[in-house]
Amino acid sequence: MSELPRRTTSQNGTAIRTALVFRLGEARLALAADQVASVAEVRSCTRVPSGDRTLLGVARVGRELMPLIDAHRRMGVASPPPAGFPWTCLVVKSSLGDVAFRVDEVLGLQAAVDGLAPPGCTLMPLEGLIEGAAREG
Amino acid sequence: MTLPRRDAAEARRAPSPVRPHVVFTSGGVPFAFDAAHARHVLRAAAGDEVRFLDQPYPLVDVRRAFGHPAGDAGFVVLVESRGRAGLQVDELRGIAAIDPGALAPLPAVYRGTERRWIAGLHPTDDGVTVVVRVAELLETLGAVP
Repeated sequence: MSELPRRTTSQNGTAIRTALVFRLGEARLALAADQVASVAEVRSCTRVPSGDRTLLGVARVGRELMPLIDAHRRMGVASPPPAGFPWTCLVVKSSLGDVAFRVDEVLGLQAAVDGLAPPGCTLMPLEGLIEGAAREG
Repeated sequence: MTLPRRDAAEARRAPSPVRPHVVFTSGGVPFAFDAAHARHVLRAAAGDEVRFLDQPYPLVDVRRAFGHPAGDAGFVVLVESRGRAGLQVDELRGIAAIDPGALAPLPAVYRGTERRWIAGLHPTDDGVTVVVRVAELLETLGAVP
């Protein structure tokens, strides 16, 4: 992901960002590419006891241990049917460190005006997702 | 290679950071705690407590405490720290050598009482073992008077 063009300027001076577009339930969401550390295949998840039921556990992503958040639950969208691993997950940078969450599908990269979602998408409220997960329970 | 005498003596005195840990599972998740706290292991027992060497060990349903689905405990691990308890666990995996200083920290998104009693995470070949501080766990579960 580090080689992706993340921010350019159009001829009229508008800042253009690259956004990663993905599906979460029926929702088509986008995140600025520079908020995404990687797209990872998660092969297992160890459930760590917690009162916060939106924390699914800890997964190995490469050599790192990463907390896995139930974004479907946090965003109030239908969870995917129970399925075995691997899961496609986005690893995102947050104020609480890198965090991963499962998505239903990665749809690709799209250019968008800085601060706006690409057409047909909604910007994912990343900090709200992370903080919300930490608060619930 | 022969170590110089002074280095060899220092090496003998230096405590190994690796400690034996008892590894058990609950709800399919592996947990570990310092074996210094383990007193005895029994097959699953009924009732509210068991007695060992004339001491009472209140039973703690670990599945329930950790929010795992109800199930049959296979073993009771008697532990002692600032209090005593019999931890009802699913399965005993044995002893593992774990360096407490090399644990991965619990990620910051975990902000609840689990931060008190989870010492850290120990990566293994097939996943992660959650390393537990026995004294803090017993306090959190109310097993210490």
